[in-house]
Amino acid sequence: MRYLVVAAFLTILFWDSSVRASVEGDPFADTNIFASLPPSEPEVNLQLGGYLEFRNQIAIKNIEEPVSIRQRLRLEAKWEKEAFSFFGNIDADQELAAATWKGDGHQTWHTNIHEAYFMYDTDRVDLFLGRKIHRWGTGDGINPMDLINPLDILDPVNTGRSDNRQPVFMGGGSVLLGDWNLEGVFLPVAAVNDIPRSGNPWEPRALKVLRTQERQGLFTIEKAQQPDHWFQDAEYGGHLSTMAEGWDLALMFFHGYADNPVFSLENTGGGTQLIPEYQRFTAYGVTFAKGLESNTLRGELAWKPEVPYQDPETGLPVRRDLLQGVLGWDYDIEGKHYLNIQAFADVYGAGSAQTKWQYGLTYELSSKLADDALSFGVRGKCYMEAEGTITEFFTDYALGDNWKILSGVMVWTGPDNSILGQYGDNDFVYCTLRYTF
Amino acid sequence: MTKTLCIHQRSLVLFMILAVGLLLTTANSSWAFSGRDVVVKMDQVDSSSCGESNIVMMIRRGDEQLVRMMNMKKKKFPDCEKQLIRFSEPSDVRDTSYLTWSYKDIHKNDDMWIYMPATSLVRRISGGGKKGSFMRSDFANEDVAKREVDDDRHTLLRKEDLYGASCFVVEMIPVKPEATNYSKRITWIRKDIWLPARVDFYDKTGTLFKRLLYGGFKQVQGIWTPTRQSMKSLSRNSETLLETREIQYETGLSDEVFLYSDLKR
Repeated sequence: MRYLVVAAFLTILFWDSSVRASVEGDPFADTNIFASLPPSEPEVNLQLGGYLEFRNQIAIKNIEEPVSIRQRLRLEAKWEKEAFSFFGNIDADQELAAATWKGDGHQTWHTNIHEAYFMYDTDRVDLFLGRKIHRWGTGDGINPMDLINPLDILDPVNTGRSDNRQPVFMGGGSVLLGDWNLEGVFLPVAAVNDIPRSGNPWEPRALKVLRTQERQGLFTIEKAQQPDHWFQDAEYGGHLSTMAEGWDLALMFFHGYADNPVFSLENTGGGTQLIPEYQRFTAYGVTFAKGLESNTLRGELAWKPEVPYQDPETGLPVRRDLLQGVLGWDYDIEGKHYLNIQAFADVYGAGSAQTKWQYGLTYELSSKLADDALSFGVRGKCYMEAEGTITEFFTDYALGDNWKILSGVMVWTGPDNSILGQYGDNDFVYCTLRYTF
Repeated sequence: MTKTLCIHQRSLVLFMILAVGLLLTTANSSWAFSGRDVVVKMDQVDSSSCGESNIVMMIRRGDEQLVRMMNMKKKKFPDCEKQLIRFSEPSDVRDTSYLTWSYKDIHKNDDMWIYMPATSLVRRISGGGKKGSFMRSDFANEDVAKREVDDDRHTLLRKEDLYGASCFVVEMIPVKPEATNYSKRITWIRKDIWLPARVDFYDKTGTLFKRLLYGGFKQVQGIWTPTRQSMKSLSRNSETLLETREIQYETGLSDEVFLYSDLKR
């Protein structure tokens, strides 16, 4: 009887097979479809990659003077070992359009170390040193406190509402203090915008006028003296951020040089000289971002007291307090359609009798088709105070995993002497073919 | 003596009957479960506090084959689960990272960020993108994110064998229909290891349009884990195979790994 009961107990115990070591009922047990998946990448310290890109930006108004016909080979390397890592990339460019640009000194071939920096990364402390792009802000393409990297003057326009920046040498780090992340950046020598060569498609109209006046003998333009004394011409900034109740919040400051020079006139025995000068300033800012279901709110506010400023009325360099704000909203519809609108305002001389407002909108409306291989839409930026607009209609098509075709048209409108209207001659259609490896 | 033995035998028989009864009402009495109970059991299978894995995904769409590779880290916190996905393939999105904080409170919006190395920016993104395709695959972003038990109302429909495994079939209807692509999901949950075996996805018109099969069930550090998935879009010739490799639980991931301020190349 006892054995019978024990046997019954054991039978019932194992009836459900809930303690079996292996299970049946695998739908893939008799197929080899998963054999077609590539093997895992081996654990290596060094990864190599890059892309080959053919980019054509053909000016609509003057097809014989293309904005850019560029072939670029970018090679990238990333090395990691424990807490240490290195990232670097190098560009080899052939800019065929340079031969058609007016003026001298434009380079057809150009090789450039883009980024090259070391990192030391632990749970609570991170350090970096090297040539790097380091951006601050929560806005899309318009960030008043993104002051570390200067503009890429050879190729300043990334999209209708964002720009391209140049990496610069810097060191920095961040440390976690409870729920806060404190970050510091130090540039031993300031990084500022170069002055574009005469004839470069992105030469500002004001500079063109000055150069024309120079050729007429009204004055001579001195060579811009960029800050180049290590440590004496340093730039630095701090960034304190946290996330509270779904809000990304950050406070930041930056002390350095304004990216663009102001021009002053000096009369000497040799005649009148126009002297470009890079001047220091300090900026303080706050940013936020918040996700709400399908919406995201973003905002930035920057206060730049006594910022160097070329007075448009007198043409003289002055200093004005500058208040800048960005308030953005984006809406993702079913993961297929995307709408992004940002309002921005720059207030020079805020609170003074000479207050000057520049304000406007940036926007993007885009959709995806063909299993997300094709995205298309319109994006741009428009000032409300006769400072012009930029509009880009774009299509991006992914061909397999490695090829991408980017095409579209970019158009500037507005008065010739306006911030965006000055590039009206650059209206172009573009087609870029990129192979990534 | 005989009387004492008889009493012992009776006690043993009584004990056995009670034990069997207890077993019947727990392990083997599947009819006693509600749909929610089954889903709670499924949710509890992964008892780890954190884990890491590498994921390989192949999208087969007509003649086209797309490959994605990524590393996934996840960690459970008292009020949420945090997940970090970093892509290594395809090459044009290498080092792109998605960080998601999925809250247990279904009325609280998940926090999501993306780091794009091409722009060197960490950007907060909204939950609307959850309905979009995950890297052009047949999976939606919401399919690879953590779904809380209370995100759906559960009804146990029936018991059914699937590929030889006995399963509970549970209907899951979203509590917040506006936040998902689906009007409902029907999930086959294995009775032996409490893992999903199949999920049928119904669109907002109530039409079955995707089917997900799970397989490659393995015990990793004592935790039953599906290592293979196949998601088919039934209305078109498209299938995504997903294989999870190098799975490790309890890897001691620090909390700082899941901070948006730590997202970088």
